[in-house]
Amino acid sequence: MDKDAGYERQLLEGWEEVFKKGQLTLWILLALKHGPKHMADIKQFIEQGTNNAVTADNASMYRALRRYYVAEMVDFVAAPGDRGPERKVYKLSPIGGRVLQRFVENNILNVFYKPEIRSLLERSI
Amino acid sequence: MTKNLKLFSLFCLLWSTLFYSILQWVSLNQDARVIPEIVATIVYTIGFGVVGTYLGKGDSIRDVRFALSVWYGVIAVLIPVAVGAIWLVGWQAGDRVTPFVFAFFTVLALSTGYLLSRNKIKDMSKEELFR
Repeated sequence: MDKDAGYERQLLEGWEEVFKKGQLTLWILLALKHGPKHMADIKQFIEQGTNNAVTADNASMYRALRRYYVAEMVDFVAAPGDRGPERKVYKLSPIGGRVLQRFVENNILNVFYKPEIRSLLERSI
Repeated sequence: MTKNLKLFSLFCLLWSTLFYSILQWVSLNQDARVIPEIVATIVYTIGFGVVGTYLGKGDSIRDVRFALSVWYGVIAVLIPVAVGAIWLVGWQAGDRVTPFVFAFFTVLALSTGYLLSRNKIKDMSKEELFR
């Protein structure tokens, strides 16, 4: 029994590790859909929204936001910091908003919200 | 100067040389040169619009969209004029090989550029952007 539990945990952790990869984009864009935020607030939104399942260090977050900025999916404005230097407040660009909408429709709403799939998901817990 | 603007300059150079060499080639055949000249001119003009628009879309909106479109226009005028001047004043390849050589290089440049850009978004691979 203990042997199975350990193996199941190993399977689950492996699956979750792979599953989480690539989710950062969705969660960052969702955080910005919720409203403009600076990096720390985006990170907090993601951690709360995913029950800490999806996390990223500051450097990874800044790199990701920089890539999305170059790709014109997010924009930012410089806002005065509490005491220190100015902070970037990121917001979803019109392109990013439309891409997010299409992604959510195609990959979440039209898949996991189908009655039969939703029912199946509910029965699997 | 963005990478795409440099590519557009290369395209203008190849495309213009191809155009002038075709005109030169057509002028060798005095009998029926009007229609090929008209067709070449139309295709030549459309080529600038199509390739310029495609490359311009690949440039970041933040790279000063207005100035960039002006630069695309400037290059699309200056390079053909320069190639035309050189063609008229100096080198006139009055043979049947040059048009095919430049057609080959133009197609090669366009197809290579297309293949390289197919898996890229703003110079980033899809895996790099959405990792």
